[in-house]
Amino acid sequence: MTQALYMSGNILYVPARNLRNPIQTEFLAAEGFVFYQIRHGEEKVPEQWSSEPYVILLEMEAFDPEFIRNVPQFRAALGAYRIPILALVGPTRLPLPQEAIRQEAEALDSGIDAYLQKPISFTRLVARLRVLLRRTPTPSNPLYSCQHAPTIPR
Amino acid sequence: MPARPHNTALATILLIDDEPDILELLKYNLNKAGYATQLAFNGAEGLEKTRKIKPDLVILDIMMPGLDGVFVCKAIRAEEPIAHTPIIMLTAKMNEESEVLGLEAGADDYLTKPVSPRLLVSRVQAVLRRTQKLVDGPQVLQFPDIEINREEYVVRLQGKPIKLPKKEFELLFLLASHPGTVFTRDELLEEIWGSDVYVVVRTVDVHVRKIRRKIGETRIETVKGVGYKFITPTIG
Repeated sequence: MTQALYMSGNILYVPARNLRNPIQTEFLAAEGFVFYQIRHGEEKVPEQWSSEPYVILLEMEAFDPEFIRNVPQFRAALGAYRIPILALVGPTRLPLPQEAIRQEAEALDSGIDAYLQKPISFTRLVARLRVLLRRTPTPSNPLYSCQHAPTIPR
Repeated sequence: MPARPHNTALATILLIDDEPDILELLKYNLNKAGYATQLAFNGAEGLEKTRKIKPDLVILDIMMPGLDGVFVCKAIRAEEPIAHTPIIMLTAKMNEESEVLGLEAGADDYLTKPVSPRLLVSRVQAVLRRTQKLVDGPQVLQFPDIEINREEYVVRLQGKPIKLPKKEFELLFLLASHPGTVFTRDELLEEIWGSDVYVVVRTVDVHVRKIRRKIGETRIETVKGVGYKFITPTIG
């Protein structure tokens, strides 16, 4: 259980083209995460990806409604239908918290799996990445492998 | 519209909180969104109900008298067959340390009170969508002459390994998970490609044809005008 809860894994980092202050992936690499990087519009899964657990870390300068609406197409372009996507979005200057809530809900409803706003601490980001990674089914991640379940309910 | 909507009509959410008003508010909003709910008023009752009803998701308060949320979360994670239950922590604790602690205890998400009803439903939907496929059943399907192993993403036909591309594998796995059950092309598209993907139903036919070439023509049967079903292989 401990291994699964504290696991690291492969991250596909996708920074937006207009990103001014990208996260320092070196710090995350020091935690054991392995980074592959592509840019928006260059969707191609790196060949090194295999059955190891992975998460897509999508970093945006600000909430981008057009991109969010096109998350399904982004997934399709990558062939990443079930890979969890964590969206990291620049600090909001929205006058109303309701607007920030609406944006997050919109992102989640479009197929983003976790939505975080910067500034975010390193510790919190690591914890959030691990949460997504530990649901990835692999032989080395036994926590959620349910071989004892009798049938798949329809 | 969520990308791969969970079938809310089938999802039961267990709400664990010592504050009845909060429970009522959560219950109201989740019922309105189409989820069934069960309530537990403390950690011990919540743990017991998780064992008993095996909910599709648990929403768990942290600060409760007796067994607190972190303890309950760890207890669920340590106990088969409920270890895989998706858990969202919902708490008044608005500090990072508490969030990290909750996530490291095994929670799948962490929400702070007060939570907007819309965000609550979106987070619930996101966690269910992400976890649903992985908790549904066995990862290895064993038949007399064919093994479909999702842990290794390999099919063994009379012991001989055959590698299938991911989509073909998922399609075969889904059909073989329900031998004899007919799936329509639309159902297969929804399950394997998701409702967010713009592919035509004939894509399913192409994939089935490719699978048949690799594992034999007789294992996936065409039900004319409807779809496909997996035939349990027999020996002799």
